[in-house]
Amino acid sequence: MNNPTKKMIYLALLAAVAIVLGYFESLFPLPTPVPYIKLGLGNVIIVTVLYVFDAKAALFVSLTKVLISSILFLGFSGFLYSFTGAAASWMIMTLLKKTGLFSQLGVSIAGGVFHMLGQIGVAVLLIENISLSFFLSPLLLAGAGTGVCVGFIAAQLTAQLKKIMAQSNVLH
Amino acid sequence: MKIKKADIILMLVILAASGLCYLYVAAKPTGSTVCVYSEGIFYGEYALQQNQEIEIITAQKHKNTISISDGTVWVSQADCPDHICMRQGKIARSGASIICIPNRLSITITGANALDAVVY
Repeated sequence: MNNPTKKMIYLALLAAVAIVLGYFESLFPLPTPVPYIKLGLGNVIIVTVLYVFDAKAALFVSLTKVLISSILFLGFSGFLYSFTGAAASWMIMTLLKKTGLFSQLGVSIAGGVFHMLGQIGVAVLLIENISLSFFLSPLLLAGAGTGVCVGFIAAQLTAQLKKIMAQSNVLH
Repeated sequence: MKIKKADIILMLVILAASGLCYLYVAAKPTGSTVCVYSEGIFYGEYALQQNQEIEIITAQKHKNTISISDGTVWVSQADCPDHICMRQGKIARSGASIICIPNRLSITITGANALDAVVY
C-alpha cells in the first residue's frame, strides 16, 4: 500500500455511504412479522471493502458505520443491536473468506444470516421471557435472502471499485 | 463472481434449518396464558381465552395496548417509533411472543390449551 492517505479517504467515503444507506433503509421498514429484519444495504459496502481491501479495513468501516449511525439516529439501544449484528457478521465473513471455499456470494449469505442472528440474540438477552425458536425460521430465510442480494450487488461494486482504484494507483 | 459448491451447500443448510425450525414451531400447541413483561419486570398474566384489553404504560410514559380476543393476542396500539410490535400479527401458540423493543415490552404465550393446535 503505497498511499495510506488515499486508502483512508476511500474507507472514510465508503463508511459515509454505508451510514447513509443505513439511514435510508430505516425510513422504509419492511412489512415483516419479525423485528430487525432489514435489507442490510450497508452490508453491501462492508462486503465490498472486505474484498477490495482486507478484513481489517472492513472492520474499520463497519465499526465506524455502527458508531456514527448510533450517534445520529439509532440511540444507545440501537447501538447494542447494531454492534452485535455487525460484529457477528464480520467475524463469520472474515472466517469464511479465509477458508477460500466460498465465493463472495456465500460469504455474503453467511454475513446476512449472522447479522440477524446477532441482533435477535441481543433481543433474547435483553428482553425477558422470549424464546428464539419462533423467530428463527423467517429470520434464517430473510438473512439468506438479503445475503444473496447483498452478495450480487457487492460483487458488482467490488469489480467497479477495483477498476477505479487500479487507475488511480491506490491498491499497488 | 463464480458461485462455488460450498455456497450451494451453505444455502441448502440454511434452508433446511429454517424448515426444521418451522416444523418445530408448527407442532406447538395453543397456549393458555398470556405473560407480559414490561421493562424487565413481570407485569401480569392473563387468560388467553378471556377477551380483554390491557394498557401498559412505561416509566417514560410510553403506552402499548394489548388486545386479547378469540383466543389470540396482538398489539392494537403502540407509541413506539416503528410499530413493529403491531405488525407482528396475532399469536396464539405456546412459546410465541411479540416484542416491542423501544418500549421494552414482551408478550409471551405460555401453558397449553386442551384444544389441538390452531392453524392461524
